[in-house]
Amino acid sequence: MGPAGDDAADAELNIIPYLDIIMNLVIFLIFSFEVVLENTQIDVPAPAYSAVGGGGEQSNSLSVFVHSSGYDIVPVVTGVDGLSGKETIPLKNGQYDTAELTKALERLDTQFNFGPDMLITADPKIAYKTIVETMDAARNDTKGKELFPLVALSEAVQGG
Amino acid sequence: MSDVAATSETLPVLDNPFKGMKRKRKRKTLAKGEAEPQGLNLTAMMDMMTILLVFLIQSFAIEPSSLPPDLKPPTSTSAATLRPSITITVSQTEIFVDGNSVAKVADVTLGKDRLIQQLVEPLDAIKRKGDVLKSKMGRTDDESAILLVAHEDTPYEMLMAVLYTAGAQGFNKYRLQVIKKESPK
Repeated sequence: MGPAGDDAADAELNIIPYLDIIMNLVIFLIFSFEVVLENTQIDVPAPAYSAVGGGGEQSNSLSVFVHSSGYDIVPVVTGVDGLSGKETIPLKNGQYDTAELTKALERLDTQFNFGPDMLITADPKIAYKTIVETMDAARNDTKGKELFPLVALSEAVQGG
Repeated sequence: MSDVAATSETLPVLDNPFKGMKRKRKRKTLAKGEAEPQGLNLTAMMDMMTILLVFLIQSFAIEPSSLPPDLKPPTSTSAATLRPSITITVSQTEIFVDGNSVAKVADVTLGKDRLIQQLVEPLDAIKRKGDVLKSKMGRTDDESAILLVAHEDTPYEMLMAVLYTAGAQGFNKYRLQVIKKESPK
């Protein structure tokens, strides 16, 4: 091989333009990555209207009513006449007291073993984010253990 | 001055003691015919860049949300992965079914039957199409799920009207799309 062939063998690939492109791409992707929000979902079972209130075969069930003034928790327990009535958790500093709701639900579940289902009912004007906050508060107990992962939504109207 | 010169003469050991060794090694390398390294070695940097690029492209592959600008879903601690479903989107101004606008929120009136009339026809059409596909494919499952994407301030009565209307058209599973929030430790 002549001198020209030796030159060709010695020539190295110029990777500087490649590095420039990669660098720009990486910077672009890093900045785009910042604004991507992870979407998740909450499964909502179809509401079982017969679960709350009278009629038919009844099992233990728990309902949370969301009002503009706070939460009402209404447990229904088979064989316990009237139970202890509803438990009210008022607003705290104008906010729904989700921490207190979690504690109350945990206490009731320990006492009566309601299982994984719960029902939420709300006043017509209650915002969707309040419903999701309530579902979050019911999902896990104070220790992070699963409490009520299946929360159904109900349209029943609660008086008072 | 003469003292300093005398000292440097008497202490030649203070010169670089490895100087001779370095020169010897260099001579040895050249003798073997190896080229003296020149410039910065970019191979390691290129490796790193490529790995970073692949990672970022993979992360970027998550389908970007195509939500209307006046829609901000609520945040939740739920960790359930988003699954594809028939999507009903309720923004502050409009209602969409699978990306197609079907009604203005201001035009929706909830009657005694609690149905949103503008939603009935598009949902019914989707349901019928889905049923035909299922029967052709020989599937017997009744998985007819609705994914509700709603603005965080949407009133509860509107949510329930949407779900009720979907239920009346034969959709029996509901999913709520939310933005993932880190659960408090």
